Amino acid sequence: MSYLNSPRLTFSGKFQADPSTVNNDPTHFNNATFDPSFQDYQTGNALNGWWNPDGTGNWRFIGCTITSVTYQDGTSTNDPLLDPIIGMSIMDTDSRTAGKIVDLDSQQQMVSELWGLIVRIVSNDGTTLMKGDYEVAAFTNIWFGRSVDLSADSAAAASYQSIIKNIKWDTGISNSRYINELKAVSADQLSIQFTLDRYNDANTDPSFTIGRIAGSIGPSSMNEPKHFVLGRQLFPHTLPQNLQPGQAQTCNYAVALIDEQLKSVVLDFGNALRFSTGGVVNETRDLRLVIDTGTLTPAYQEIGKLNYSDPNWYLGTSGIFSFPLTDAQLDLVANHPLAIVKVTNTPNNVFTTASTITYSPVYNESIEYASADQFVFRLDANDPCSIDFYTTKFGKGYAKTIQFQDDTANMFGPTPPVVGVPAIPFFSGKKLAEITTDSNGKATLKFTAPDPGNPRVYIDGQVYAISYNLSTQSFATDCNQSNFISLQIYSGPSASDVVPGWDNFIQPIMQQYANLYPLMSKGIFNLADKAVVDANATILQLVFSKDPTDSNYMPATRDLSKYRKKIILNYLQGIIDQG
Amino acid sequence: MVLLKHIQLETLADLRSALQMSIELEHATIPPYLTANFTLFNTGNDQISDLIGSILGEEMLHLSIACNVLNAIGGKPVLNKPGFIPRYPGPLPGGVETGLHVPLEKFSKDLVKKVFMVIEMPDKPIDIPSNEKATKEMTIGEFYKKIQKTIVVLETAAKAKGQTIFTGNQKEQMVYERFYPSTLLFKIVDKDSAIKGIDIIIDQGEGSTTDPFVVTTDSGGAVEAAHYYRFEEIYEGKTLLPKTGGGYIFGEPLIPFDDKLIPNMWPNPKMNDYPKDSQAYINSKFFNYNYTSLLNCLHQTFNGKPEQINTAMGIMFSLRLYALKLLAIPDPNHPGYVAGPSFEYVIAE
Repeated sequence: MSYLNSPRLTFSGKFQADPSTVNNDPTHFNNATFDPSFQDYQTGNALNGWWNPDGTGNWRFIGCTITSVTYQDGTSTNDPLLDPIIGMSIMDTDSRTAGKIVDLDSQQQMVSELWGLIVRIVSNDGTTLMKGDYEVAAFTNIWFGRSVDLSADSAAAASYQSIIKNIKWDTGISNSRYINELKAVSADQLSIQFTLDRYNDANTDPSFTIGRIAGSIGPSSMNEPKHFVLGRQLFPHTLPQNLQPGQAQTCNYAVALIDEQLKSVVLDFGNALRFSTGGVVNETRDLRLVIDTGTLTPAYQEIGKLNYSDPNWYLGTSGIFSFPLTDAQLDLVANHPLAIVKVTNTPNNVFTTASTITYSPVYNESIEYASADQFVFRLDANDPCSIDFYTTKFGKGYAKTIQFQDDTANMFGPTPPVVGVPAIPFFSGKKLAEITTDSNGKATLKFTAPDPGNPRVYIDGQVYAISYNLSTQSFATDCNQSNFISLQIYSGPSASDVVPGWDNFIQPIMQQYANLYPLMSKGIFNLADKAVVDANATILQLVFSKDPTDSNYMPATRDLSKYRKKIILNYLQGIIDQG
Repeated sequence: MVLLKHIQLETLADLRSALQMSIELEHATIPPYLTANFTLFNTGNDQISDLIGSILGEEMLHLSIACNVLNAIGGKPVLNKPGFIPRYPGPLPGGVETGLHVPLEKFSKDLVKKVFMVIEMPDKPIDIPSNEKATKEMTIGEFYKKIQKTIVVLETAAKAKGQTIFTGNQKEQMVYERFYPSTLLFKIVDKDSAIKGIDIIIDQGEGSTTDPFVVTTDSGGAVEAAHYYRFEEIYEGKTLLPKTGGGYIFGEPLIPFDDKLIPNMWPNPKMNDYPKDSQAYINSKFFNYNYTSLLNCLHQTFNGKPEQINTAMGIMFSLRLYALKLLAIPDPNHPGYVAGPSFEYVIAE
């Protein structure tokens, strides 16, 4: 079960993402060449510290409200008189610091993770009905052509999918049928997905650091992936990587779920269409969800029209469509792909009302599909790494071989410093690394992270992109280019005999943090200053030793290796012991 | 000197109400001191900032002691209700309407003299008539002494019946040796520890009538000037020193003040005064949401989850970041001024 199953709710509103951007340029990690201007906002002709050097790292829901619910029996409402949960809020914490948005690395900024986020359902009187921890997740399916009226990051959209765990319910004697059903079906764990777009990165604008969010929450089962839907994977007819130069991407990846019990198909179109000025859909095509019967006649069995033209469609439904299926369609769809087609109705001639309907494909189902669940990993040297994979055919698990290749050079950058070297032996043998899933379509890839040494000199560790595909497919031409593994492997202890102390080891690390996160270094602690660190040893020890999933963990960037952390904590303990 | 309205203090319920008021009173000094201190940040006035910071740390200690005493006598501290934060400018909680009105302002010597020193001004020796009139106003020192007296009376009466007023669950009290030595913040278990805790509040705030320096109970001999005198040091720009042969004098080291870099914050900012589509409004809301989150977290801390104090520390740091952001944003309504923190109770982001 996932957010596409029922009982499901949709919500929409705004979000704040306030990352510090001094670290967006990997060369800013080099203390030797760091210039104070790298902490300034960018100007017309100077990038400086990019668009948000004073970022706090905070990520928050803002003004998000529940817009619709779908009950277990498949019926829906968006009327607060029928279910008081409509109009209630989706919020983050009310009693600790905000969750953080964190890049994996300066050279892999396309999988930003949310750490320490709390998700709550809050009634209009401020009562928390549900509160839980968002399991760390990275965004995927980013595309930069989402909003045609905007440019650069503002034009982009990306999606997050994860679970909510450690849930506390306080539904009391709630008269919301929805919340009672949700708790009854999925008390321990929920599935949550949202798409972010129309982000404002203009530092003088009142809405700076704020963007639009629309998403969904639903039930979750422990034996299904947390970060994608085991469903029917709909790929744009021409994959983005196969577009001609100058050809715009008009739609993005989508997923549908066949609900056999409810005899329906639920389509998540939240990150699929383009938008324009005012946040309205920038689409005019008559789109239909169909079953592609291939050789049968008619070739396309229509399931329903994608009616996106209501001005409130996106924010009111989060882009989720639901269509009933007849028994015949249910049978047919079990072994035929879904597709989304554009319907064109052309009059035969000016003298008759007869017309010819033509279909042109807009989306095709990737019938066979491989996907990792978690796809972003922070590892220390010699850490074992386990990655869960699923292979599906028509959305159902089946046995198949997945092959892996090191694709770092194509995926990561900018350089310098160098990425992907030294290669990970496991992924660089003469024969491709591969695993074969079991009859349920599940397998776990296991390998040990090598110690990369210090190839980047001024950035700890090394980053790697491991792409994968079914043995019958090619990653470059057949796969969603977001579906690859991002690895960060931190360096272990160096071979030198030098005893790490403040001057030779800790100060350079702290100097780097002070350089890259000016709000912290100017606003809280200048970590580069031994006197400041020593004077605040107790509080620093507290935050450095917290669990990284705690929103108070330091460093907020979650990029401190186990080895470095140990040296720093030992140092702080020494200061504390001295009194 | 701040004068508080007379309160009824006879029953255990009265005592719990008085302690709740003391929590609100101790808290109420934090926003004005914190605001002044935010405006000193990175202005080259670290000596002054450190002095105010040390006072803030002690106000937080006093709040914690008051919560522990209230917990000890079976009460439930409330820190997360909308009225918990007073309106600024306005009287302190329990204060008489005609008395001092406390503002949220940028740091100035005038503010120190006219507000902060008045808040912390020690009691002058005064005659306390044996029959208090119902309308009599009290000083803060008298208020705390009255609480102590009531604890003694009620506990003595309880003991005579083989009972005690210290019925609270001690696990709910907060001690935090990482930041407050156990000589200052300890569990309140009986009459003596309650009296001792309240003595720390009185002594650190006001000092004694003859000596501005406080050897806080069992602090191992370390002395520090009471709050009133620390503020006076800031105002005088000099350090308070014992004079040879008795008495006290202001002398070196000097405590210089440089106002050049102090952000020109419009006094007593209010979130809703800012246009909704302004950065000032949005950051004010973030600040207030964080402050409300801090109160929620402290409420949990003093209601059975003392370990939450660690989480509260994290919010205190993020508060400073939002305050510094506000102090860098022009006040949309007042050209030449910058926005500032308003310390308002906000439950929706």
